[in-house]
Amino acid sequence: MRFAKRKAAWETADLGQIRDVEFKDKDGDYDLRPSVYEIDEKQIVQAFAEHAATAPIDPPRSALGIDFSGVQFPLLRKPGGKRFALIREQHREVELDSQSDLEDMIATVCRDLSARRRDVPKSAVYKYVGGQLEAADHEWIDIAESVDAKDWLKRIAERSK
Amino acid sequence: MSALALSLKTSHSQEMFASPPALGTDARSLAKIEQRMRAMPGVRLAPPFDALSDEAVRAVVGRWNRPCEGAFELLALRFPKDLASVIQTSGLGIADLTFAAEALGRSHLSHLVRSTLVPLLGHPSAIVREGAIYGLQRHLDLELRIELEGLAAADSSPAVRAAAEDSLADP
Repeated sequence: MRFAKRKAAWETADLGQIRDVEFKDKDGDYDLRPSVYEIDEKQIVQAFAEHAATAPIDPPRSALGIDFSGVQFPLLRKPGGKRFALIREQHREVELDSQSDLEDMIATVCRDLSARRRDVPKSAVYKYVGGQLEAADHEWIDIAESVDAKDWLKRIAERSK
Repeated sequence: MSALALSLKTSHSQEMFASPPALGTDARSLAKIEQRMRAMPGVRLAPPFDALSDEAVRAVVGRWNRPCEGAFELLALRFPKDLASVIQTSGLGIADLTFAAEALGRSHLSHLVRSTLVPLLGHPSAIVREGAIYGLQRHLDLELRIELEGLAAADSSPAVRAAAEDSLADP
C-alpha cells in the first residue's frame, strides 16, 4: 500500500503526471526507492494515522491508498521510523533501477487502478487516534506528549483526557 | 583545593582557551568563500527561480538549481515573499506548482498566503487546486471558507471536493 501525495493525480490516469507528482524526492529527482507498507486491508487506517503522525503531513487529511500488490519489482525491507511498530516493521521500498522501471510500475498499477484505490476518510483517522489515546496506547501517548508533537495531535490528546 | 580538582580545572581551562575547531583553517576558508558569495552581485538562476531576490538565490544555489519540494520548503520558511513571486510568475509546471502552493502555507504571513493561493483555486488542473487547498487550510477567513464551501459542493474533481471538505472540517 502506498499513500498518495495528491489524490487528484490518480484521477488523471496520465502516467507522466502521476510520475512527476507522486514519485519525485525532495530534491526533484525521480524516486527509485518509493515507499510502500506491506499491510492487511484492515490495517490501512492505522498505518495512515501513524504515517501522518510521523511524516510532514499536518494536519492529516482524507488519504488515498493505492494497493501496489503484484508490482513486478522486488520489495526491500527498510525500517519506517522509530515511533510505531507497525509502520516500522512493515515499511518497504520498491527496488527500481531506472526511470523506465518506475514508469513500468506506474503502468502496472494504473491498469486496474479503480480496484486498487482505498479511500481513508479523515474522520476515520481522527477517530482511530482518539481511540488509541483513550485506550492509553503507549506509542500514541509518547508521540502526543513529545516536544515535537504536531498541533492536531495535541488537540486530539487534549480532547481525549 | 585538592590537586585533583586543580588538575581538572587546568585541563578545563586549556580546553576553553584552545582554538575551537570552528576557527580552524578550513573553517576560515569557508567563511571567506561565504563572505565573497555574500558580496557577489546578483547570481541569477534559470526561470522560474530568476524571480528570487539575491538573498534567496544565495540560500538556494548550491543545493538546488531547479524547482523542487526541498527548495520550496526552505523558501517558505525563510523567504515566503520570494516563493509567492515564483508561484505568481506562472513559470512552474503542475507538479511543482502544487507542492509550492502547499509549502507556502507553512508561512505565517496569512495575507500573503491567501493573496497568492486563492487565485489557484480556479486553476484548470485539479492537482494544483488540491495543493492550493492544503496551503490555505491554516489561513482560513470567512471569505475563504465560503469559497471552499463552493469547491466542496461543486468542484469537478472528487479529490478537490474532499480536500475542501477536510479543510473546513478542521477542529
